Amino acid sequence: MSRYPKPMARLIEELTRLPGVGPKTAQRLSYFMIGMSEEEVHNLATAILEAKQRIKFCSQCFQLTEEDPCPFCSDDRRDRTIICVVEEPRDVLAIERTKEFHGLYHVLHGAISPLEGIGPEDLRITELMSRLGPEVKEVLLATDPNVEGEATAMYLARLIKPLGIRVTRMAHGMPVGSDLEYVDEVTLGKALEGRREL
Amino acid sequence: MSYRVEGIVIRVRNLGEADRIVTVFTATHGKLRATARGARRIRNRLLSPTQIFTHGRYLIFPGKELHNLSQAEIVQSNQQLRDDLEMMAYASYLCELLDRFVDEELPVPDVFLLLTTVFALGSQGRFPLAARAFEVRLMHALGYSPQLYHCIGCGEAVTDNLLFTAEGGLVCRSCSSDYTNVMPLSNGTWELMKRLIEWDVNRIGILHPTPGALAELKALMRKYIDFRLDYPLKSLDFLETIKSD
Ligand SMILES: [Zn+2]
Ligand SMILES: [Zn+2]
Repeated sequence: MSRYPKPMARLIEELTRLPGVGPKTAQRLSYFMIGMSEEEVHNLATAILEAKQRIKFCSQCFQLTEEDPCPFCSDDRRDRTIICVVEEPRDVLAIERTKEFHGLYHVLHGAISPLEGIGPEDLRITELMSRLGPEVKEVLLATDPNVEGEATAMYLARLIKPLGIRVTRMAHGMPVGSDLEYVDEVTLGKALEGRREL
Repeated sequence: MSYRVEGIVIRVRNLGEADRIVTVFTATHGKLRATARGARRIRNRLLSPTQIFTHGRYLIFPGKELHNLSQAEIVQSNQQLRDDLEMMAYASYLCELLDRFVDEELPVPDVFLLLTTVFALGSQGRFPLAARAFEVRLMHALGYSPQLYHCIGCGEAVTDNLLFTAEGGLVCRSCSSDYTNVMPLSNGTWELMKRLIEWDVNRIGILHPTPGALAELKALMRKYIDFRLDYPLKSLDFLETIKSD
């Protein structure tokens, strides 16, 4: 038997499904929501529902979007000869913030992880391959610099290089602003490997 | 009380925004599961030492369900295993096999030496042999060694026209109908198996079996291992899609 009135127990249960929300946080959020005015609660619920109903995946790059194709794919000023491949929709925004990239994106929705049973067939790889027409000159692999991201990048390089398309990978560097002596040997080793002429 | 262990990271899962849950296979304490707080933050000291396949030394604070892993230093980063797709797939498979077969907090020191040896051999591009050695010796070390000299049915010595069952090893012609998953075993592969089990683990690299013998042993051990698992391994599909041998 739950200590909470039924509707509240249900709310807590639903909130616990959210990432990073444990029972304690869910309980706190529930008390807060019950204390909100009916109008505020209505706005929150409508916002969630509307976002869910109106946001979809772009049929070309699989970024989250309201319009299909998304603003990136339909923007004529963007460079169509280069496609930047990322794991998650939020990675697109991280790269956009640098203002250094002006090409198109492709979101894989995950990374290869043999130990979790996530293989190439679980990612948007077939869709990426079908975008590689004659106008595409370069594919920039911007998957995470961890073991899953590296494996995904290596797998994609194997598929794409034989097509005569340039395949590039984000450089492994030292964290900007760090002290060399505090950087671990693996990061330092990678940074040495990727050294460049000044 | 905290204690220090030396081990290899065989599994990593993300926890929350910045933490990891790592499974470390140690020489002295067997398989341990621990939380590494902050291990996904860029400047965190635990970031590199808690990557999969890393051989390191770790400070463990015991906990109820999960321990806490705090300080860490790298003994051998095994970076080459993460830098090559095929090696990564092989090493993932070995880690999954180990994770599925060994219990938590149960020391199996022979297997720790086996894993480090096999990783070293694999790093030299010899995973097709290293993986077979790992399978055979892991079964042996955990008490599932295939019988290689006598029929598992009647106990008679068998030396020719060999048959092998996934249920336990060699079986003679007359007993073979009592067992499932019976396969012929060539004498060359039989000799290879005996050496993989009986030789000192450091000498395995001396062996240079034919691709045929390795392929036969692989098929045999696949069935032998599957027979002892209640659900299939996740990492095998990927290994099969990418490897060239
Ligand atoms: Zn798009
Ligand atoms: Zn017999």
